[in-house]
Amino acid sequence: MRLVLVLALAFVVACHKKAPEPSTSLFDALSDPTLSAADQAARDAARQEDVSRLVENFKRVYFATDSAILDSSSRTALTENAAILSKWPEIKVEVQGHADERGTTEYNLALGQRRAGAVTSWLAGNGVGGSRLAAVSYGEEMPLTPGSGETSWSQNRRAEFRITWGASGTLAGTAY
Amino acid sequence: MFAFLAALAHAQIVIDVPGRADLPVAVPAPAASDPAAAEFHDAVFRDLHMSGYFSLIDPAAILDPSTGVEPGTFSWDPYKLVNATVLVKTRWLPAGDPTCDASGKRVCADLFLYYVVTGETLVRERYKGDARDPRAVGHAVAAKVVKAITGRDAPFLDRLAAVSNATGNKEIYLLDLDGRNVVPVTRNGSINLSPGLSHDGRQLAWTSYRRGNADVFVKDLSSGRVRLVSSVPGVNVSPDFTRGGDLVVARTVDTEVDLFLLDGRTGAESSRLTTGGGIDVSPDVGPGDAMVAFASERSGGSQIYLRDMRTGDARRVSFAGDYNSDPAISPIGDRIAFVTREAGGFDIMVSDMAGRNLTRLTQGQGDNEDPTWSPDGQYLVFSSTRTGRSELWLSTADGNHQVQLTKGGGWTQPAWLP
Repeated sequence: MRLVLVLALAFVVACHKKAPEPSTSLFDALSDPTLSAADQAARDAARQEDVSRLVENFKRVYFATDSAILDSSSRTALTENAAILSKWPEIKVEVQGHADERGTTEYNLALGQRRAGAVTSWLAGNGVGGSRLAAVSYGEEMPLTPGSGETSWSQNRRAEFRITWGASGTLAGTAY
Repeated sequence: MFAFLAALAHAQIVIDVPGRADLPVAVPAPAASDPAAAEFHDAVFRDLHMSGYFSLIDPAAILDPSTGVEPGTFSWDPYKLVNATVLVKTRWLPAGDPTCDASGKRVCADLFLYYVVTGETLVRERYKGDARDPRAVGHAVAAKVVKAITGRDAPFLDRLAAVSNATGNKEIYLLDLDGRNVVPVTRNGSINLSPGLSHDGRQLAWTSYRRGNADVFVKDLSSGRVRLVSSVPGVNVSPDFTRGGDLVVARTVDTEVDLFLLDGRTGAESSRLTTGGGIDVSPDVGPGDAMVAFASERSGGSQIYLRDMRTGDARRVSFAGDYNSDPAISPIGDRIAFVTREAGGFDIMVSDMAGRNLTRLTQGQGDNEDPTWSPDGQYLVFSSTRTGRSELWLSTADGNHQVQLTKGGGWTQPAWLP
């Protein structure tokens, strides 16, 4: 994970040479040539922590069995997530749709996509630019809570947010 | 319907389809005691048990002091004592045996198949194979025994493709039907799912996240070359080859998942097979490419539908329960195996092509999923969690006889190689 994060930051460095971000940016001045290598490493580590904290601020969204309907608590969570996205306009997110184990592997891949799509549609309809959003399904492949029973299943029927940016879709961290 | 063995017919032995597992057979170990001989004997023994025709007599109960295998060199009494009807005697010729292959690269086994009741010799035949795979010689011997007794070919030398998470990631493997000789097909550290074989056995299609999305790839199993065939934004899942070498996949279109026919080589879209009704997934193309079975929620919960490839009409063929999926059409197109969701988990069912005459293969034994037919339609392999871990199991098509194929856990989504 650490290596991936460093690569992600390196990618941002490359971007910044072409198009500097506004000074309020989380990733402001990443390629500052006046910094020593050690200072840059320390600064990068701090940025990494910032990203980790930012990721933690995204709320998960939960679903009923076989459903992709956003209930009121889901919409409340998404309102908060939309506020984060509006505060940090350079952030792109991948919305990951997940299912519990009570479907076939292949049906659950389709169901997870429907859940991720419901979330990205809602965000797009609430002011988040569609180009900042990607929907990916992981079906039942990445349960949050192992084991059988409604306690686990209800945790696993969910959508999560992962921060990405750029065409490479480089991993920066997954919301938990 | 019934297969008689001419040599046995006069003795009123009738062998029906596999599943009764009631013909008493003795399979004493060969005299040779090297590890290869033990592997060979283990393969013969397990295959005959797997076949569902025989009741295997415990070798420890057979008290034959003779090591003779040829007629007249041993007594029938130890076999009559344990009520053996059929006796499978074998002689193992280890690597380097001059009467087999002095170079040591090949090994041999002599099979003597006897009908104990009359003392008739039904088969005496020599089998030769690679010294590195003594089990393969055992599979050939066991297949000959089944053929001689039942008139049917046995699938003991067949292979499966399946998913295992043994490395911590789901990867695709090929393995022998008895769970041995596991060979990786993918090793990308990502998530790999839903292997499907072309009908010439040369191409394997599957779903992988190696590009960060659920895309469909095809690997040429001889050259090892991999090509990306379906990668629309969203899901590209559940590939199944037509007899003609094209692919049916389920993939995202707008807000739903529909079935598409793709050129098997290029991935170019030939036609869209389904429209509307939400999720259509898990296609299985029937014999002659005449129809495709799939799971659809167009009537509410997931149910099985059959689409006529000529007219495009689709009819529902599952009616019991609120969640049926993963259809697999039998090789001659007379039955559909599928998965049904119940309170206690998932079970395997088999129906006729109209969805009637249901046979239940599993009940109350954990989750049972992803049925795949043997090429002769006599057997099914599926995954089951009945031991607490997900393993591959084989069942006769009537469900009466089931054996565990893999050990180690984490096995799912088997596909029988043609």
